[in-house]
Amino acid sequence: MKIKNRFGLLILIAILSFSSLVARAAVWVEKENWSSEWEDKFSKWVKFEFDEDFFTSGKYKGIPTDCADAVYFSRLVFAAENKLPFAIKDPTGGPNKITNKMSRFDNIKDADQRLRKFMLYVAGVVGTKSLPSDTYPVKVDRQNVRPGTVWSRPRIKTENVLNVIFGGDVKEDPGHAEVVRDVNDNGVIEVIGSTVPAAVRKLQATTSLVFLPVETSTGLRRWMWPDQYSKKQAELPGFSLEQFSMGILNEDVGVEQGADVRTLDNWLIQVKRRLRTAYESRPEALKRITKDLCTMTTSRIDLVKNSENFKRKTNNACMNAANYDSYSTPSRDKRIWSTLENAVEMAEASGFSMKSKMKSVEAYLKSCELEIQAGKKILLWDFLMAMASDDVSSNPNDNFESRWGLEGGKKSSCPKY
Amino acid sequence: MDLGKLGFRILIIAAVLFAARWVLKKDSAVPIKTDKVAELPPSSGENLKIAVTRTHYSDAALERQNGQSEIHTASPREEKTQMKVNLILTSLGKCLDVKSVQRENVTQLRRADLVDSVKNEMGLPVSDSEDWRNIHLVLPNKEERRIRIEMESDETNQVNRTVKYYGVDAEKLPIEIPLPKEMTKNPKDQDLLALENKGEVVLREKGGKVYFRSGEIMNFVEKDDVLTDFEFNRRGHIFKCSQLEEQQPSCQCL
Repeated sequence: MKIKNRFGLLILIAILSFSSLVARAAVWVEKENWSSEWEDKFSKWVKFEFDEDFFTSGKYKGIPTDCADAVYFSRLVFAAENKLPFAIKDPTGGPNKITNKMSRFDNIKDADQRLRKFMLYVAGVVGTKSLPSDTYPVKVDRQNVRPGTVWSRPRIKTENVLNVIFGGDVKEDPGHAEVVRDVNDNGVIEVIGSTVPAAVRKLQATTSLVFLPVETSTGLRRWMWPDQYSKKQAELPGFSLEQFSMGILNEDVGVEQGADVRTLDNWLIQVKRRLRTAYESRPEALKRITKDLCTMTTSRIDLVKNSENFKRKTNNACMNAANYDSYSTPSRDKRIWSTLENAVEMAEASGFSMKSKMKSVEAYLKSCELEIQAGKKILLWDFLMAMASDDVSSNPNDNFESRWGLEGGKKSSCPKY
Repeated sequence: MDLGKLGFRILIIAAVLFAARWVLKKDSAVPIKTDKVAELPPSSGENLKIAVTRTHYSDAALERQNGQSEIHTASPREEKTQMKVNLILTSLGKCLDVKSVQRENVTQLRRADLVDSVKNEMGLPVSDSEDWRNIHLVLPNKEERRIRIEMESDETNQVNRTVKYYGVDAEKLPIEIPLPKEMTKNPKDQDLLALENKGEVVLREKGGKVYFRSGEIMNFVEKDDVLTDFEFNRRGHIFKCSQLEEQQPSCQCL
């Protein structure tokens, strides 16, 4: 054999050997590539498979999630199960992506265990702050806003900026993220997600999008494909910043006419208008919103229960800041209140106070029963009336009755954080 | 089939492709790309016009031209970057309806430059907040470390600082190194500094927001104090620029 041929043969053997080595070093070996067909399948999978019990039963039982983890896992799990590539930007600023190709877990022979380890690793590095790097904002239509689309809630509320103008510090609400689970014929978006702190929990589904997207790093977003990171976001399919200008009082009038104030109500109306294929009647809307309120308040039950159990173990000692944060519910209670305001607005209720306005939705709110303790039930109506009277406390140091606005509620003298 | 010949041919093809890529990249033009932004004002001066024409040349052509051009204090490359900066500021002004002031001798856009450019109309910032920070270190034993600091509000609207510390594996991916509990949430500044001083800082990356008195918000990302991305929100309008470190940043006006 000539020297040239021998050399060439050695090169070929080296290339083939290297390729096979790379193929073995991975959390899973990808066999497919992302495409619009696979995005359709992902969408279908989120709608029918990514349900409330995803992390409390079945193959992924026992995996703790917070809001960002659940969002990332929806993509990661689908990619793993279908041998698609998974890649995210390294939030620590490293030059390489975190992908299914990483070899760190090669020593774990069992594929499911290897996947779990990878999921926990990803959960340890990602958060709501990394989502803008792995997703991009999209046009508001049924092609781009559908099951699997990410809904990233902004960290700051606009109202807080006004506090700054009048001499206060900027107070910021925590960031949050969920996945679109469904877009119904009425154009209503249902989202599903987890919450903080990270724990093994059922996911929660609501139609409550109670924050207006302001920064272009938030809002309704699509996942980036691994090969799209090198491209400009503006060139990616479905990319649009339109959702950040929607919500003006009169969409047809626009900024030129001076109607440049965006509101959440108008934004929701305009999004719904874009996405609907059928009209939602007022009773249908009120039923839907009541269901959201019921779901959100039901999820509060376990948290208050856990808080009470904790206090019993510590002989009702004052909580430190960390435990206070874990067991308090101001964000949740705020979200419940915003949703109630939405219901009352939908009903076009009249009256000066919220309590009088609530009468227009009384029948709906009385349809939801809450078992707040073994053998103790209240109606959603009662809870929300107590909230309207300022009798409901989000402070975990206050007593149980105070958490639910019941008679006998007592405020504690422990420090508030 | 002669496998030896096949392998040799693969090697030759790979070498040719690599060489072609190198040649093409070297000679690419460097126009500034902007989407949906205002054109330069029609009253641009003659010097500006000349400078705009110059940006259409490749780096190699600019180098050749250098000896023949009139005397400038800045190099052609610096002048080109200065142009890019001022084009961005002009576009920002048009988009947000403010008189943005051009910057002299600024070849890398920094946060202070952006603020200075709009302060006549927006005033000075009233507050700023940091969202996250990455610090890359090289230890005396040459090992790499990364510190990731995130600021996040909690249920009580309190802003907490969480810290994570990472080593780096052979694939340049982070491996978390546990920190003492008191270091992971709201650590003391001096403890954080001590962690940083374990090695030489080779990169600082930061993301945050700046608030202005009349309600404008500027979101930014900077690397070693130079802006890589920013977004200005003003009265329902958004001016956003990404990849500022690239020769062709992407800017949009909404």
